[in-house]
Amino acid sequence: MVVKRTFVILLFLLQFCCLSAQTVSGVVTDRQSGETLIGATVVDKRSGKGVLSNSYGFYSLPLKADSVSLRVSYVGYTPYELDTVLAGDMELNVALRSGVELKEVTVSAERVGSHRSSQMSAVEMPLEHIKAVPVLFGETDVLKALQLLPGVQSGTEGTSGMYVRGGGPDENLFLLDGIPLYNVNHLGGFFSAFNADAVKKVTLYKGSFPAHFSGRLSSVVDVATNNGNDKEYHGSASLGLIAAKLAVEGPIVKEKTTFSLSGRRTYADLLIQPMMALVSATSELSTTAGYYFYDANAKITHKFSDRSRLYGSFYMGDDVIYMKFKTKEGIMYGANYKEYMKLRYGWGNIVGSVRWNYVINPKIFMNATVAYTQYRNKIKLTMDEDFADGANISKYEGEMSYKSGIRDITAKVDFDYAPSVNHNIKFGANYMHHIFRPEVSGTKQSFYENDEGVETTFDLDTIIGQSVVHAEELNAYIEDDWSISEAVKVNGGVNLSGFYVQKKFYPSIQPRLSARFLVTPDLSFKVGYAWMTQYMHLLSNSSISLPTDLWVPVTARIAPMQAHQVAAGAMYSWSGIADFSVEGYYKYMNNLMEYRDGASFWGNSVGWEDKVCMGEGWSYGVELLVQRTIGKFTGWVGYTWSHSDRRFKREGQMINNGKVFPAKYDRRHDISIVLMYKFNKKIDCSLTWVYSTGNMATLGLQEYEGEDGSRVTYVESRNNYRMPSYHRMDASVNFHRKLKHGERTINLSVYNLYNRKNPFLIYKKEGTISTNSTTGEMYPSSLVKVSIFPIIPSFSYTFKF
Amino acid sequence: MSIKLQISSVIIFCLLAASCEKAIDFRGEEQSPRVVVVSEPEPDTNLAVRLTYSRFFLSGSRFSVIGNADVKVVAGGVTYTGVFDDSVYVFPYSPAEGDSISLTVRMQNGGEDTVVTAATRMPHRPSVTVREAVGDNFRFVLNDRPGERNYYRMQVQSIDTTVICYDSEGNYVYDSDDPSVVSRDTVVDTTSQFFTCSDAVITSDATAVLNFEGQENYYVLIFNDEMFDGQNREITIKCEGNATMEYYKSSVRKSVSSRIFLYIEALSKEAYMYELSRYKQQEGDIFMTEPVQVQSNIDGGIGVFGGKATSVVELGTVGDR
Repeated sequence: MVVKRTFVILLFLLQFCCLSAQTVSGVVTDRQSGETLIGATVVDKRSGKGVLSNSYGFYSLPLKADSVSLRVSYVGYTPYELDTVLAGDMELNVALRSGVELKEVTVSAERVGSHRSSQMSAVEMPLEHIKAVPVLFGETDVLKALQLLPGVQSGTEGTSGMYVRGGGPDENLFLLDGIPLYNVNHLGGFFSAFNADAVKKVTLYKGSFPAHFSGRLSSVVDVATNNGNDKEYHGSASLGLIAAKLAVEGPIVKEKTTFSLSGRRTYADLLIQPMMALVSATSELSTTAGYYFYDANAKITHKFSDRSRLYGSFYMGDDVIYMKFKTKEGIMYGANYKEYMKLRYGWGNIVGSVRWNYVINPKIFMNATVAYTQYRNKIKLTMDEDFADGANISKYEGEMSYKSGIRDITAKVDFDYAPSVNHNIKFGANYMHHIFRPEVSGTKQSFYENDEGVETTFDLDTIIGQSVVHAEELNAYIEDDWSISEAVKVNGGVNLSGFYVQKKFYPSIQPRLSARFLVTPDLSFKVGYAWMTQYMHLLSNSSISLPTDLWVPVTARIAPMQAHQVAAGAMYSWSGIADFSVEGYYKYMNNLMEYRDGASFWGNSVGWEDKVCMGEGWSYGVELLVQRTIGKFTGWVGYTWSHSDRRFKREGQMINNGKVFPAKYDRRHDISIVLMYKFNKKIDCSLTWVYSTGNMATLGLQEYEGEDGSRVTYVESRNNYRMPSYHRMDASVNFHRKLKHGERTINLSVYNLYNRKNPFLIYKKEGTISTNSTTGEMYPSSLVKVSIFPIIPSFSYTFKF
Repeated sequence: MSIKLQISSVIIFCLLAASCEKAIDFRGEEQSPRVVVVSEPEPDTNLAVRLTYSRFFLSGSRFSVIGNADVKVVAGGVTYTGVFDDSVYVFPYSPAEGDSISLTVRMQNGGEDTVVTAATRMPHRPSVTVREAVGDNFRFVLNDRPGERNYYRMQVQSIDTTVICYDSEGNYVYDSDDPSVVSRDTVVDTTSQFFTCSDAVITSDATAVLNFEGQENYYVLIFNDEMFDGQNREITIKCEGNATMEYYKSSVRKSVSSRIFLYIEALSKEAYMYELSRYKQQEGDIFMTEPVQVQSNIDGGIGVFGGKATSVVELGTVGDR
């Protein structure tokens, strides 16, 4: 009875608390473009309470007091301030004017990654930094910029693969406006699929993942794209060393409906066509061949009202290798002979989504999304051959095809709920229907021969492959960003997920916790824990991303991967100068997949489950980051000390005889120095230097004579040799100039300034054999490193209007 | 080779063609040579053990034979001492099926006393029953011993009898019915053969090579009886030997017949682990497959000391019978 009475009283008081709070809510936008601002700070200076705008620019700030002094700010914009008396819930849409913010206001600096935020292990990468970092061939690249952060390592030389805190490249969730993108690489991973012209904001989470993220073990890269300018038409055109880009945006209906379009394409193949035509003119074969990639982003935004908006997004990107040749009319091989061959190998993504935002009331914001995402990989080879010589005739027609891929259909709903001053609750659910298409190969061949009256025919029409695998994935989550006190803030939540495939259901309950203890206004300590589950793997047998990489789901035999990660750290914000952070982490991973000795997926993936072993891994390390984001001189210095091991000792699934071995990308030290300086409005420059300990490789350090007299290479353990270290310096300078109808920028950059021959791979080159080929004397063999990219200067011209 | 493999190979080739190479210094610890023991004893054959030193993988030195070691084996409570003869240690002992043998090697290695040991158990010869031979298809039964894990290695050889025809000037004549043929030579060769086999269990660890008809061919199969312990496993293989007129159409030889022989070895577990890993290493590619650790059961050294027992069965004849 006492308990019941107490509960009733508490409920009454709680309602009273909520009722007595008045809510200020609205959308924060850019005054010039109408673009919503993600992570803008809205704070009441009197109470010190503040919130960040969400992914759609919406904020909701419950306040108890009647008299408030509001300040809305965003880096790079002039803050907006308002003193007012709240007579009830207030809708306040703020359009900020871009301008120079000389110093960060510490009270309000709660953006993701800041010392005041409850979120740890997260970094917001300003777009200006992404565009300023010099990269390969002068092409701006989102992922290459992220690789310069502590805790994030690149794979091999030049590739976009990300290895975050000891995890593999398939353990990163890439979200494009909230929708997963499976293949984020062009050209073997040397460029990412994100066109920086379309990107508005990039946030990287390396640990302590909020509960609304799930599906990958090691990181989440959340990329938001531009909505489009709702007042004027703008655009840019850019011509670089290997690619051309075009972006346009503007209103369809002013301040109501906007569009944003951007695209890029490489053009090296177009440039060499005249040369190929010249060669073909003098040869018996007419040949065209080439490689290109392109991607296109499109977005339409419609504002029904201040409470309701609709977004339609589309992304398409492809890599294509093509080749075509045919013999010319005439005589070859002493007879009338015609041959034609056409090959097209294409791989890429398509992502489409429709999202609807609705402000249910000042405290509750809803986003509903339906989306389709696809990664496919397709080869088609067509051949014709005709031969005629008097009474001898032969005809051959052949077509071979291969395809594989993955498709997802997603429906989800997310809510932001601010019930009171101290709570900011997110909850939601999503459903994904996965369709995995493992490889299917088809062959059609038709042959006819008449050899002086003797006829031979041959027809073949066959399809080999695996049937499509359907899987269902469900997620529900709830998290609360709870300000317990001025000093203590906690983000706690849980993600419930389930995956159903091949009549097997895998449930998972994943708790998440992240807490911040504010020691002084500028110094905080943070701790975090996350349990993550991953239901799909990338079958890849090389260090570079190849189109043959294949996404496969967990199966009745292969269980989901799991990771537990704890992290702790401290952050200090030296106001107006720089932010300092030090963070330590420990991650344990289970059900990791690695290929058996001798396994390869270069052939086909039939029976892939028999080619892999399941095991466990550990990684731990310390990350230091000093970052400056305001002022003329910006940049960061990052250092990571880390250790990453693996062990596969299950019965029938042993690697390295069940003993612990280093992970392939176990690099002890990793240093990144990125410096950017803006001289004036006309010139800015940047310099990058990176250093990392070499990757691990497997070498057979001993050889002996086998039972049949041949040579046996003895490999004592996997990943037993550390390759030479990697270091490189890049530099870039931009020259801006205002023109009559816009602004032009000339960029000059140099990749690998001092021409370091960094190792792409190493192998043993056999010495010359003298006498007996197996046991005789040999001239010594040598260890050889293969390097890909020497010093590469590049140039680009961009016109913005 | 699948299209995927071809295209990927081209991509890798282009990448490497555009790259540059440079010899680098080895930055690890150059290990001293290890003692290598290689011995795969067979029943009813005098046991022999070869001892050598391994070499650092970048050196060009020969594989030095160890001739001054004290090598003993113990079997059935009896100790036998090896005598060094023509680069191997020979023992006055012929293992029998089922014998357990332990090996001990004592020697000086780099000024230090070194002891190397290993052990194995001799398997029983596999029992095979031939069922049917139709053209180049052969069906036989492998009678697996129940109650223990058995390991096998299977190869096919052919004894080919071929005829080479000459004209009066001693030139080869391709058509044996040609009237210019004045003499014929009969040649007998023994050749290891590729064969097809559709048994998914016994081919699971093998690397197939596609023949002209797109069928998967194997050179050797190494497998165990985990999926058919104690059963009589019926296996069908197809092997043409060299008695195929199509294959020899443009060749000098006209094959008359090929006698097909099945070589099936029962391996001890040690020999099986070694042979299987060795096979995977030989079939692998430095760039395209995961590195393979060749298994070793030598304590204090590397190599293999594993018994095996071979059965040879004639399956039939292809061509003129």
